[in-house]
Formats: sequence, structure tokens, C-alpha cells
Amino acid sequence: MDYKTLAEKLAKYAPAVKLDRVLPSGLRKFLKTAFLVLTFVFLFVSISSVFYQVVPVKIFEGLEIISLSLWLLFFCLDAFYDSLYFDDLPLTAREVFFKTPAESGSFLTATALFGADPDITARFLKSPVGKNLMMRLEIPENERPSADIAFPLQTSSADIDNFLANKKSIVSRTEFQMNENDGENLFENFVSALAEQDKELSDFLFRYAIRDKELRGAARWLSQKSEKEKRTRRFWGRDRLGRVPGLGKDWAYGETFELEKFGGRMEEKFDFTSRGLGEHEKYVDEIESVLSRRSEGNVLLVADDDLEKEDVVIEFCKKILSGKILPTLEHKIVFALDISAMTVVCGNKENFEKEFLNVMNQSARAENIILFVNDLPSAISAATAIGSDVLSLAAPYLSSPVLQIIAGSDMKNFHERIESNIALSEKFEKIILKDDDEQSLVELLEQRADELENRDGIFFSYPAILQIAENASRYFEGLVISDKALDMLSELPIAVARQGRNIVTKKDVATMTETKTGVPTGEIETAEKSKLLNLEKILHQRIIGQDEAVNAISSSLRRARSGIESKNRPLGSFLFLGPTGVGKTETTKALAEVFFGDEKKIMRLDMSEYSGDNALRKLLGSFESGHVGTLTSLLRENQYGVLLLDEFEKAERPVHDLFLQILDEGIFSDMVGKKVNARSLVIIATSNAGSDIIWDFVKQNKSLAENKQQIIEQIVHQNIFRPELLNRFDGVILFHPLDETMLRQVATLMLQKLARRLEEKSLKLRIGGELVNYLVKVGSDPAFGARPINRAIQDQIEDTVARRLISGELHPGSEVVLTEADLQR
Amino acid sequence: MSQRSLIISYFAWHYSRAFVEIWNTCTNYIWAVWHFFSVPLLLKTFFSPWHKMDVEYGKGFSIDNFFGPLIVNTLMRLVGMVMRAIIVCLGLICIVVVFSFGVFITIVWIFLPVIFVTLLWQGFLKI
Repeated sequence: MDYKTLAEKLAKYAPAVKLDRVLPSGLRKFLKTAFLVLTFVFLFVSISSVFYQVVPVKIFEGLEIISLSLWLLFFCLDAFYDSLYFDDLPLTAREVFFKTPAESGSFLTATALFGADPDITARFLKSPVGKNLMMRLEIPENERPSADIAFPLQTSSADIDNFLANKKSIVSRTEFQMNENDGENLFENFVSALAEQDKELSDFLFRYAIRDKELRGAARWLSQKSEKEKRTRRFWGRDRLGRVPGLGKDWAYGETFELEKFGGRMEEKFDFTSRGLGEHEKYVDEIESVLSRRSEGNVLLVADDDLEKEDVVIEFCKKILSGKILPTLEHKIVFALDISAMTVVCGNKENFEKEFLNVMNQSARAENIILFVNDLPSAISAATAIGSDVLSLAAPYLSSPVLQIIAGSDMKNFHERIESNIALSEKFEKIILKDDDEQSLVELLEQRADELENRDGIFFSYPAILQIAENASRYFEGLVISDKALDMLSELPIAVARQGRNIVTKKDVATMTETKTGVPTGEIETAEKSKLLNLEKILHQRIIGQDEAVNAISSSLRRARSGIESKNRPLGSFLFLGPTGVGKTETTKALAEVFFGDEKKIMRLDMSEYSGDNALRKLLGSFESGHVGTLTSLLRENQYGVLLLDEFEKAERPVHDLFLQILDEGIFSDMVGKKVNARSLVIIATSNAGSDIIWDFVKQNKSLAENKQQIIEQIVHQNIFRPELLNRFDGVILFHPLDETMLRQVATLMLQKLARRLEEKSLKLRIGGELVNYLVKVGSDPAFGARPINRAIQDQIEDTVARRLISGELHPGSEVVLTEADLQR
Repeated sequence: MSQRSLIISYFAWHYSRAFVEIWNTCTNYIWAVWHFFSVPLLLKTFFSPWHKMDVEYGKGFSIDNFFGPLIVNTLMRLVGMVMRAIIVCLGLICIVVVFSFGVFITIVWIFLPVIFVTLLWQGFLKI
């Protein structure tokens, strides 16, 4: 579509756009109200003047008539404006004269398109809607926005002004082109096409990290906000008028006073204006199909999120209320029944069963009732607790043609209690509500953000909304993602209010994610920047030699923190191969301390414990026994840190298969199918496998680096690890045996560590060459690496110091000087 | 678009599309009244018992078993019919009112520019 076609299409809105520029809608609204008030004031004064004769009555009568006529004028102008303004509003209930509204977003596009500037980009950026869109995209970052679309920010930002002032090219009428079939929203298509054709505009947006996805999303959101505002204002439309409950709707059906004691109509119990906003159309259609197909059909909604199940049923109720439902379901009333509360109120089995049967009988007799029991497993448990079998009581009604039930269950209880009960599961048609994908999560967040903006006067930027959706999906996997995302959304206004602001930006979301998960997701600060750039140096303060390991880990962590690594895998994964005592575990500890800030961030699993038949059950948990898995519970508690898999080669083959998936996708399922996130972990598997091969190469003075492939092939050949598993790791690192120089350095490091511990007791350890030489001499066992040195420190040095402390030879402030002779004693 | 063409656009709208808007709104209100008073549903269920309150006939024939429930059920149907008839009549009256209001507004709308000028003129004359 070229400019001419677009302008012709939107020409009908030109008078409204012009009117808005001559007399902005806010000003018109103010004047209209003011003249109406004045009319009444003058009327009141003129009536009073008749009695009190203070001033001539005629003057006030005249002023009253003038005010009335001016009010009429503004009324007509508003009617004229509204007629065009509401023209592109999609209507749910068709109206006699407006069956096909204009394309969504047409009016907004017109406000951005019409103007005197030869450059279409300039027209767009100078228009109120253009400024508002930029504000939603955090351009500029520090401007105070107004959430009001009709009366948006009036001051232009310096960044945008500078950009327009220095712009070298223009997008003229003749050049502008847009693709008609890009999407459903005209405004979204228009801004996307503009950015695509104006390289300078797209570069300007890119400086703020705004790409087509963000631009389109924000434009769509803005358009939807405008649509929502129109829908609320258009009180004379059938969509609004049809929501008034009618008289006599239930006269043909039975009374439900028993049911009303323990339940309520959905529209009375839940806020229909802010919930069930149309994001579950697919499931609503399924419910409609099941309930209308068979009169004895019942529905079981399976989802972990109770709110989501409610939302689906609310949407279904809205469909009934709107009258756009299949005839068999017309005039049906959905009642939310709380069976758990019923058991509490009744207190004992007899009372409960009597009341329950009363409720069910009356509901069945009414013939227009659909019962909604949100948490069926809890209801069963509550009834069982007082000795009643609610399922047997409900059984006749479940197959009754006059009463239908929509029940809800979470996934775990569905598998455990309902699916296994064949008689029960046959009565229900199961509908599993899948976790929201990121796009529908963004839409849900947009809707809730609108509510918060209207309620609390807060302003959410669009990148903030996207960031919430992304972080919720990435860092809260395994939990109900939409719940977590909505929690964050409602906590953010409070967090920014504490800082005296009312704008929620992407940065605020990153800060909150970091607070909640411990995973740093925001911008890299100076101190962290320096640490990341000098990782190798910092790691080498603790690790002697092993350059390959240190370099591989450092590169991997830098990639992870900069955000350029794949988001669907762990932060990093390494297999450390080498003889014992050469620094594999020490490297892991150093990594945890340097990158994660604490050595305790290591979650260690001794994989030799997972070598039996029940290895997988021990790791993932068992559905039958209810036993919780070690790995799943460990990762649910700490999703950010280092997972150390010691002696990895000793684990069963199914365990290796499990890690194939974890290393590949960063995610796996527990015993009940719940997802567990491993994407914020560095996974390090250590193994002594292949030590003999490494030793052989070292003895022959061959370089391990040069012969790495050969060594790995031999390990595969010995069937220790399968090649596909080795390939899943980011790196297979060979640890060299330590030579004497390295052992001396290790001994010095260990002594320094001991010295720090002794310092806490106010003792000073003198570390001399003699002491180091002694340790290397007693600790140089090639088969055990540096481990004997550690043992020598414990057995000999620490023991000697302890003896001297107890005997009083050493006291706080003493210097500990140890000779070889002291230690040999 | 100049301010002159804005005024022309307004008058073109006032004497064309505005009438469609007025009658669209009017039909919306008629539709809302029709549904508020549940006219189609009440007519469809005109002879049903009030709130399904009926008594079952007992087993075996006896005067009590037959006439008792017959009287109660007839009464319940009569109550239902009377209540429905009242509501349907009220609904029809409201529809006539809304329609008449629509006609009145249409007539006023035709003369509104004249009314505006007259009111303004009269107002200034009084001052």
C-alpha cells in the first residue's frame, strides 16, 4: 500500500485529527463541562433573583442561555469527533448500522500520518501518539510520562528533537510503502513499515535496543489500550448495554436458595471487568463444545494455576451472558460451589451429606445450573476428612442430563487421584490448560499492566513488560509462569514508588529478578566488569596451572553474563578429566567464589551414589512412593550456582541419558511432569576416568593438549562415556598431573590458607622455604596429586600447632615458626 | 485541512452520518430494553410454572392425589403467566418510549444549528 492509498483510506478521520489540533479533546471536555455547570449556576441565580431582586433577572437568564448554547456547541463537536473516533472499534455484539468497523488502529494511524511536515517520520514523531509510543519504548529514559493516550506528553524530548534536527534524509509521500498483509493492526504495520524504510529511524531506535519486535509490540499495545478506552467510553454500544442483567431470566427455571448458601454466581463472585479478558478463547470453545454436545457432559480443567482456571470459566460465563453461545447453553447460570467450605460449615458427615444432596437436588431440578468446583482434589480431601465420600454422592448427578459440572484440578492431583479413578475420569472430559507461551504471557501482562496503570497511576514501559515475560519464563521454569510474572508486575510499582518514581523500566525488572533469584541479569557494573575481564587472573590466584580449564571457564562465563549465549542451555557445562588431586574440585570452588560470590553456591552430587537400579528415582523422585528427588529439590532451592557432579563416570547409563537432556536443553521434568530449570547453572562433571591414559601420555612426555582428541577417543573406546554425552558439554577439559614447581606453589597456597585461619586465633605463621620443601617432599605422590600435601598440613602442621597451643607454648600474638625437625617429631 | 473545510465537514456529517448514529444508538437501546425485560424468553416460557414449582401427582387415583396437585400446578402456571405478562407489557411500553425519544431527538437534531444560533442570539439580547 502506498501513501496515497493509505491517506485515502484514512481521509475520513482527517476532520477529527484537525479538530484535535485546533481544540484538543481535553480542552473540549473541560469547556463542555464548564458550560454545563455555568448553565445550572446561572439558572439557580436567575431563579433566586426572581425572589430577592438583587440584580436584574434578565442578565442571568441571558448568561444561562448563552452557556447552554455553548454547551450544545461542544456537545455537537464531541459527537462529531466521537463518530469518527469510535469508527475503528471492533464490536463484539453486532449493531444494526455498524456491522464492519474500520481496521484496528486506523484512527491512531491517522493521527500519526496527517501533518504538514514533508518527512513522514517527523510527522509521526511529532504527533501525540508518536511521542507516547517513544515514551513506552523508554526513549528518552528519564522523561516523566503521562499514561493518558488522549492527552499525552506535550513536551518533546531532547533526544527526539536532536534526531529530527540532524536527520539527513526524509521519507516522502512518494517513497512510503507498507505491506497490507503484515498483521491485523494498521498502526503496528505503519510504524514497522516506517522504521523499515527510514534507516536513520531504525538506527536511532536500535541505540535504545528497540528492534522490530519491540516497536511492533509497543504499537499494538498502545492501539489495544486505545481500543479498551474506547470500549469503556462507548456506553451506548450493545457491548456495554448487553451486560445489564435482565429481569425474569430465571423464572422458567427452579430456585437455587440451597446452592446460594455455599456458592455464588460467577458474575457476583468475580470481577468480570478485569478478568477473563479473552485470552483463553480456545479453551472456552472446547468447554462450550463439550457441554453442549452431551447434556450429561462434564468438564475437568487441569492446570496448576487456579487463577487461570477461573479465568477460563469467567470467559465462558461472559460468552453465555453475551448471548453468543450455542442455544443449548443459553440461559445457563454458572455457580461457583465451595465444597471445602461446606464441610467446614456442616462440621460432620451427616450434616454435610444432607446439605450436599440438597444442593445437588435443587441444582438438578433448576435445570439451568452449571456448577464450577475449582479445586476438586481439595474438595475430595475435605469430605474424606469428615468421613464422607463426596464422589459417590455426586456420581448420579455426574451422569444426569439436567446438571453439568466444571471441575478443576492441578496436574499432580490429577495424575494421582483423578486419572487413576477410572469411574470418575470417565464422567469428565479433560481439558489441559497448557502453560502460556511467551507471546500470550506478554498479552496477559499488557492487560494487567493497563489495570495497574489506571488504578495506581503507574507507567510501565514496553521493554519492561517484555523483560518480565522473558525473565519469568527463564528463571521461574517449573513454577506457574504466569503467576510469577503477574507477581513481579504487581510488586514492581511498589518497588519503584520506594525510589520516588512512577515509571517501571526494563532496569527495574532486572533488579527485581536479581533480588528474587540471585541471578544477575541487569547491566554489568564497573566492579563486575573488571572481574569478568580479569577472570583468568583471579582464578589463577587459587588454581595452579591448568590453563586450559581456567581459559575455557572464563570465556564461558563472560559469554553467559553478556547474554550472548544460548538462553536454552545451562550457563556453561564442563567435564573435568584427570587424576585425583590435580585441582578439579578446587577449580570448581574457585569458580563458585569468583563468579557466584560464594563457595557455598556449589551443589555437589556424588554420582557414585547413583549407580543402582533406582538411580533415576533417587535423582528425580518417585511418583509411586512420593519420594522427592535429590536433583529436583536441590535445583528448586538453588537455581543459580554450580552443580558439581563428582565421579560422573560411576553413574548409571540412564543418569547419563538424563544429563544428555539437561546439558542440551537446560530443562528436565520431575516425577510428576513439572519442569525443573537448570539454565542458570554452571554444570561441572568431574571424573578420574582416563587418568591412566593421561598418565601414560605424561610419562611419554607428550603434550596433553596436542593429543586431547586421541585421549578422548580412548575414553570412548573404553566405554566410559558415550561420544554424544561428551559432545553435549561445552568443553571436555584435561587436567595435567602436577610437577614439582606446581606442587611447591600449591603447598604455598595451602600454607597461606592455614595462615589466614591461624590469624583468626591471633597467631602468625611464618611460611619459609624449608616448610614448603618439606611439604612437597612428604606430599609428592604422583598418584594423588596435591592431596597428600593437604593431609600433611592437617596431620603434621595443624597437629603441632594445636599441641603447642594447648601446652601454652603458643599464645595469642605468638609467631609460629616450624622447622622440618619440629614436624618429624 | 483548513478550518473552513473543518466546518464544512461538520455540517456534512451533521446532516448525513449523524442520523445513522442517532438511529444506531436508538436501536441499541431498543435492543437493550427488549433483552432487559427478557421478552423473547418470557414469551417462549409463557405457560411454564413459576420457578418450576409444581407438585407431583401421587400414586394411585384419589381425589386428593389428583385435584390437590392439579390446583397447585394450575395456580403456579397462572402466577407465572401473570408475572410474565406484566414484564412483557412493561418492556413493550419502554420500547415505545425509547422509540418516541429517538424520533424527538431526530427532529431536534435537524434544527439544532438553528436552535444554537437562536439561543445565542436570545442570550445576547437579554444581556
